[in-house]
Amino acid sequence: MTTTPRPSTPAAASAALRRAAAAALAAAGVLAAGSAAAQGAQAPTVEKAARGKYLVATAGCMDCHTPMKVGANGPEWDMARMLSGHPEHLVMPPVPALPDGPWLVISSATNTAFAGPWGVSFAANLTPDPDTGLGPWSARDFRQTIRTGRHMGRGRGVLPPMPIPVYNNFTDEDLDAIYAYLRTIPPVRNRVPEPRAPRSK
Amino acid sequence: MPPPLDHPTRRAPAAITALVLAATAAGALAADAELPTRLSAAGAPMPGRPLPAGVATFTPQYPLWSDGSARAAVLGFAALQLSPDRDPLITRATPRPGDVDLRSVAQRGWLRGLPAALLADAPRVAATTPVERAALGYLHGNCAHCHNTGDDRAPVRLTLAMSVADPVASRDAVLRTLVDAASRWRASGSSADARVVVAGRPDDSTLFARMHSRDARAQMPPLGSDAPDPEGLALVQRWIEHHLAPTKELQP
Repeated sequence: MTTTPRPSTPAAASAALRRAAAAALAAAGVLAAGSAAAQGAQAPTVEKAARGKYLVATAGCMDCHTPMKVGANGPEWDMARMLSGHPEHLVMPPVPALPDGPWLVISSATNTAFAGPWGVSFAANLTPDPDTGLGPWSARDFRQTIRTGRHMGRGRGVLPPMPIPVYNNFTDEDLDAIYAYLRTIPPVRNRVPEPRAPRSK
Repeated sequence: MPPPLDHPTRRAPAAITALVLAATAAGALAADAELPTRLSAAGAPMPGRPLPAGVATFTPQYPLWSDGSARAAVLGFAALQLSPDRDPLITRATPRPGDVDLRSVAQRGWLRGLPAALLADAPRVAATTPVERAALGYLHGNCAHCHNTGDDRAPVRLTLAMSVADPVASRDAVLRTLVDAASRWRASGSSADARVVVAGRPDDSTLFARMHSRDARAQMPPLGSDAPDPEGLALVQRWIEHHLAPTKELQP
C-alpha cells in the first residue's frame, strides 16, 4: 500500500500537488518530458487538479471515503488509505437493531459503512487503482455518476448517504476538476464490497 | 481439438445462420409502420454521416424491445443485428415478409457509407459452435451497448461487442474478457475472488448470476429490464456448461 507524505505548509502542498499531477500526466503519456509545449499544456491541468483538491477538501469527500482510525487524539483519517473507501479487510458483522427512538442510520467506526432502510452501503474507492478504484473511469463517467445518481453513470442507483443532490450543484468544470485531482492521488488497492440488501422484517 | 472457427469466409453461401437479435429486432422494426417517421423525428437514422471503414452503425436513438415487453431493451443496432443471416438458435429465426435488414436499410437510404463487402456477404458472429455463435450474438445484441471498447463504454474491463470488420479477432477479444477473467463484481457478502465466466459452471459465473438476478444491486442490464429473459439465460447457460474449454482451477 502506498503512503502519502503530508505536506507541512500550503505552499508545500501546492508544490506536491503539481509534482503529482505532472507525474500522473507523464505516466498517462499526456506529456512529453522536457517539451516546452508540453509544459505549457500541463499548466491548465495542474490548475484544474489544484481546484479539484480544494473542492474535495471542502465538500466533505474525505469524511466517508477516507477510513477513520483511532489516533492519539481520537478518530482521525487514515491517510495511508486516503479516499480508498471502505477497507476490504473490515468485514462487517450483521447490522445491530436500532434502539427505540427516532434513529435511522448506523455507521461503522471507520465511517465507511452505513446501514439504513436501504440496506448497507460502503464508501467507494476513489483512488486511480486500475482494478479496484476509478482507474478505468473517464471524466465523463465521473460526471455522469453525479449527474444521474447512478453507479458508473448508468447502473444501479448510488445509495445513501452519498449526497448526490448536493453534489449535483457542482458545475461540469467543478466535477472535471475533482476528477483531475483524483487522478493524481496515490492508487490504493482495495476492493470495496458490494452493497447489502435491507434486512427482511 | 476445437472445431475451426466458422466465419463469413468459411461458410456455405446457402447457410442460414448468424447473428444475434436480428430476427426479433428486425421483427420489431417490421411491426412498426411509423418507424421511418419516428426515426426522422428522433434525428436518426443518420444519412450522410461518415462511418468508420469496415464498421457501420445504425442507431435509431430510441429503445426497441425484442418481444414487445420491457423484458429486454435493445438500445440501438450495429451491423450484426441487421444482418440478413439468421441464427436458427434464436427466437423468431425465420424471416418474415417486410423484415428490415442491412440491405433494405441501405437501399432506403437510411444508412450510407456501408462497405460493399457487408452487403455482398452478410456479417455473422465468428464461433466454434452454433451455440457459441448464438450466445455471443445474444450478448452482443443485449449488452454491447455498454460493454464495448469505445469511448462511451462502461468503465469495466468487459467487452461483449463483436465487430464485423474482424469477426475472429473480436470473438477472441470478447472471450479474453469473459472466460476465467477476474470479475470486479462479487456477490454481496462474498469476499471470494470471482470470475466472469467459469467454463462448465454457470452458477460460479458472475455473468450468468447478474443476468439471472433482478435485485437492483446486482442485475444486468441495470435498467430497462424487470424480468430475466428465460430464453437468453438458457442459451448462455448451455454455452457455459457445454461449449467452453475447461477453465483453470481457481486459486484459493
